[in-house]
Amino acid sequence: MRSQDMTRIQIEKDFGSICVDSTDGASLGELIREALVRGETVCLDFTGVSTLTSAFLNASVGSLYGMYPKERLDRDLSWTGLDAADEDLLRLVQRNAVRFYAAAKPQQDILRATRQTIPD
Amino acid sequence: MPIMDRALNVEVNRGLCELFENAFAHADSASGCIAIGQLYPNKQEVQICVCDAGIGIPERVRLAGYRFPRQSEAIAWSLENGTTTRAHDGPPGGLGLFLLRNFVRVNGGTVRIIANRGYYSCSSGSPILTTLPCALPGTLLQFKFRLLRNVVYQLGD
Repeated sequence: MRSQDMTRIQIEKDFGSICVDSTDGASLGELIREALVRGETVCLDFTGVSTLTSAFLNASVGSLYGMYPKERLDRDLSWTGLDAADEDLLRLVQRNAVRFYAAAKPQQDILRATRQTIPD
Repeated sequence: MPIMDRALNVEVNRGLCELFENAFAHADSASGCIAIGQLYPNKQEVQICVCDAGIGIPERVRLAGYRFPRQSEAIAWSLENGTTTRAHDGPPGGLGLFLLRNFVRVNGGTVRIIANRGYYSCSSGSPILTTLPCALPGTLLQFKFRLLRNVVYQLGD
C-alpha cells in the first residue's frame, strides 16, 4: 500500500492570528480541497491563532462536507494546535455541516409545506 | 475593553466577530454596521450593541421561504442550533447567534434583539417574544455580559 503525502497548512502564517472572516475561510477551504484532489491528507495547524469564528470554519471546513463523504474527511483531514474551546467549536461545525448537507432535500420539502400553510 | 480572563476574552471576541460577519453576510446593509459598548464598573458588566440598517432578521428569514406567525418567532428561530437561511449549495451556517446565546446564558448575561417589528430577549430563563408597535428598519442586537473570572465556557448542542 502506498503511503499518502500530507499537506500541512499553517493557518496563522497564511491567514494571521484572527481567523474570523468567511472569505478567508473560503480561501483555506480551497487550499484543503486542492490537496484532497491531489490525493493527499491534510493537517491544519492552528498554532498561534487567537480568535476563531464559526463563519471562518464553516467556509473552510464545513463546506467540504458538501463535496466529500464524512468518512473521507474523517480519514484525510486532521488538525492540531487548538485549545479545548476552539476544538469544541470545530467539532460543532463538523456536526452542523453533516446535518446541513443531509437536510438539503427534507428542508426544501418543509419550505414548500410552510409556504402553503402560512401566507405572506 | 476591560481586563478579562482569557476564556471570557475569547468568547467576547468570537461573539463580536460573529455578529459583524452576520451583518455583512446577511443584512444587505449599505452602511455596514455600527457597534458601541459601555462598561459598568460598579456592576462589573459590559453592554455591547451592534446595529445595521439592513433588511432585518425576520425579513431575511421570510425571503428564504420560512414562515412564522410573529416576527419575534423568526428571531427566536435564528438563534437555534444550525438554523440558517443559507442555500444548500454554499457553506453551512447557523451557529453564530446560537454560540452567542449559549455564551450569554452560561455567563448570566442577556441578549436582546429588535428587528423589524420583532422583539426577542433572552437571559437565563425563558425568552421573551413581543411584537413592537412600529418597525425598526434593520437589526439591533444588544448583549450584556458579566465580567466573571475563572468560568469555563463549553459548547453544547
